[in-house]
Amino acid sequence: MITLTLFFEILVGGIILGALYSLIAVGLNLQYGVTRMLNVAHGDFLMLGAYITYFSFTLFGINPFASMIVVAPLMFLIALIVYASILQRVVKISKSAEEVEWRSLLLCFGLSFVIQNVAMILWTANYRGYEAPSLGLVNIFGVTFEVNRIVIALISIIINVSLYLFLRFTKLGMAMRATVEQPEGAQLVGINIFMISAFSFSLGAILSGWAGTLISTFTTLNPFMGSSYTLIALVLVILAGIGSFKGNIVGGFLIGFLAYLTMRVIHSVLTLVVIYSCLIVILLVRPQGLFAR
Amino acid sequence: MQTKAISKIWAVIIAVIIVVAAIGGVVYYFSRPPVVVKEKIVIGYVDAFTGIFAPGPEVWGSYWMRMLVDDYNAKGGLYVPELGKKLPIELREYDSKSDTETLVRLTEKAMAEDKVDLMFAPWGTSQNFAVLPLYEKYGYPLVAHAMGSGQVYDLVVTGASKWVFPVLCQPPFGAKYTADFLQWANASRIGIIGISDLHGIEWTGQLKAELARRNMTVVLGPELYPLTVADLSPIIRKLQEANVDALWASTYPADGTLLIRQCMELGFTPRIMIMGPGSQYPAIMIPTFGVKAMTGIIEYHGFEVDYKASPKLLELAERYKEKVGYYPGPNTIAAYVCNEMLFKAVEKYGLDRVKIRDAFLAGESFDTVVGPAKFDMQNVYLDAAGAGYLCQWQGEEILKVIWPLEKATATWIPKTPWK
Repeated sequence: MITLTLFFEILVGGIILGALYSLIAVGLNLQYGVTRMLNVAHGDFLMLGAYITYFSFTLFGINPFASMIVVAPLMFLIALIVYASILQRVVKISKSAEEVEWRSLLLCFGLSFVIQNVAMILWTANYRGYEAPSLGLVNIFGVTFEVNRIVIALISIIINVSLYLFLRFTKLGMAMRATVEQPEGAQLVGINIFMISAFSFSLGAILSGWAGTLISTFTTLNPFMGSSYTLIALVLVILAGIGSFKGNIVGGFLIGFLAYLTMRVIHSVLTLVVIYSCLIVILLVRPQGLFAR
Repeated sequence: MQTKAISKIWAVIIAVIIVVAAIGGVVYYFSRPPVVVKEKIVIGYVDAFTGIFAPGPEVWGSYWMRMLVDDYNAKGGLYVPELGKKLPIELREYDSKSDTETLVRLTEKAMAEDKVDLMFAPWGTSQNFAVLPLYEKYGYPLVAHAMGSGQVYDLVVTGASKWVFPVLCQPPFGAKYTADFLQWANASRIGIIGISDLHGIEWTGQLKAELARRNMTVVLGPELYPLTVADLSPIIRKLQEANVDALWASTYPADGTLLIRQCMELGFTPRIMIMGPGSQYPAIMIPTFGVKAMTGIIEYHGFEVDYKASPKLLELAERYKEKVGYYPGPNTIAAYVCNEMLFKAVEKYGLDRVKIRDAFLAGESFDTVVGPAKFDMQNVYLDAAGAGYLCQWQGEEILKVIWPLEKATATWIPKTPWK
């Protein structure tokens, strides 16, 4: 029997969890959706962001949420170096978006191993954690929720909405979309597609790093933590529709809501069964995802 | 004339014999087995030093095993009775890169090509299962310090495997002593949760069955959640609604941290909180929550010690801390103790692995840092001080033994408020 209080709990709890999922996927959605680079090292960039936050907090006492300011330039720089040294050539030699996809998939697969093992050499394979400050509880519709998680959800929603608006209404955003949809046409009107790709990839890495920052506030870190997040992100990108930030939010909420509902009302052991069954049904009805362009 | 002819024949025969003997001598000289002077004992250690499983050996056994080898080498090596002298030990490490196929390939290389004298077992139940057939094939005792499963219990009890020696208490036995403790502590409303993998499924299932046999009330669970869980609040709310006073949680470090943090935030403080394996590591838990918040949490893993229980143990723990920065988890010493036992067996039976195996199978006792230790092949665990113990965080970095009562170094305390 679902009471009104339980209904609100599942609704708000699902939104909070869903926002976290969409945050995990947003960086990959940008990279894959806009530049067609299938960055399977996405979770490893997330891990790097988590470690930067960890060290900012433990060495310099920087609040984890505030450390996003530190994470952004560092992740941008790392991603730019990776792009210039490895991925730029892929964009140059590929004749189609599909070619960029499979070439980048293979490269990023290798990149993932490199990042993981460099991280392990630098910081050991040991688990790490820090005492993230608690922001307390808030009562919504008679149910208490953790403020930390609500902040994470708000940040996620702001990022997704901002990206949607940025890509839709700014010149740079339009240039980014044009680069994917009509690369030759984009070049003809003076768009430097290599610069755009580099920017998109690096922006995606910042978003991955921020996801890592926020995840580090409630779990332990290790150099190999990224793989499971890459999987979550890939599922959500496919469900949302490639490059759709509307889909990223809605898809995230859908998965979050289903996960919360299953764990709370049905049985937690069925969580993945329910989520993947729903994914299969959606892809049968809309193979292009919920909001594909 | 005839005499002369005979002499010629004899001369030919003698010449042929001389030539054959000379050739034989030369052939023998070059084909004789070289006289091998054994200069060291080589121990193969194949484990995940890189890749997704690497945190396992890192927090669990690799430091301990290296320390054990260093300890022996510092004393001149390991005594080999057939040679009548001590030999230095070489620990030859092979990285499986967290890939099971590579683990199997390298294990076979160590045994068949490199012909190592002994093997140290890898970390993890699945990894031990993967290499067990090779240990059987080449005849190496698999002293499995990080393997826990009802399946290995069956393999040993039925006699299907003669080369595997599980160290930790396996789920069927572990569930019994945990239920003993819960019964003693008057747990009236028990909740069981855990991660949805082999460890979580087996331990939570066995515990529920054991509690049912004793007519003890399980009000929730087993609630198993996926490895990728990012929010445990739905389960915590169910535990709160069920008014659970004793929580059992089979967790690893990542989800264990999440569980503690969310219990803390949502104000869920069961009187009895048993977790493991993963929340007993000071290196992870102290920087994340501090000792005060952890106080009252009980840990299970089938083998636990209080390092302050003896000066020898404390000395080892201090040395571990010098290397790692924190005291070791109370369970990790299992990796040291069981391999120390292996070395003691070598000192008695030499490098004859069949004799070592037979001694282990017969339940022969060897002296170790925790006292006498022997394999109990009926209950399938290493019978030594530490086996079947439960430890509890009690306001300091080194955990206390609270169960069984006769071995306790401190009295059990209910979980204290989080903040």
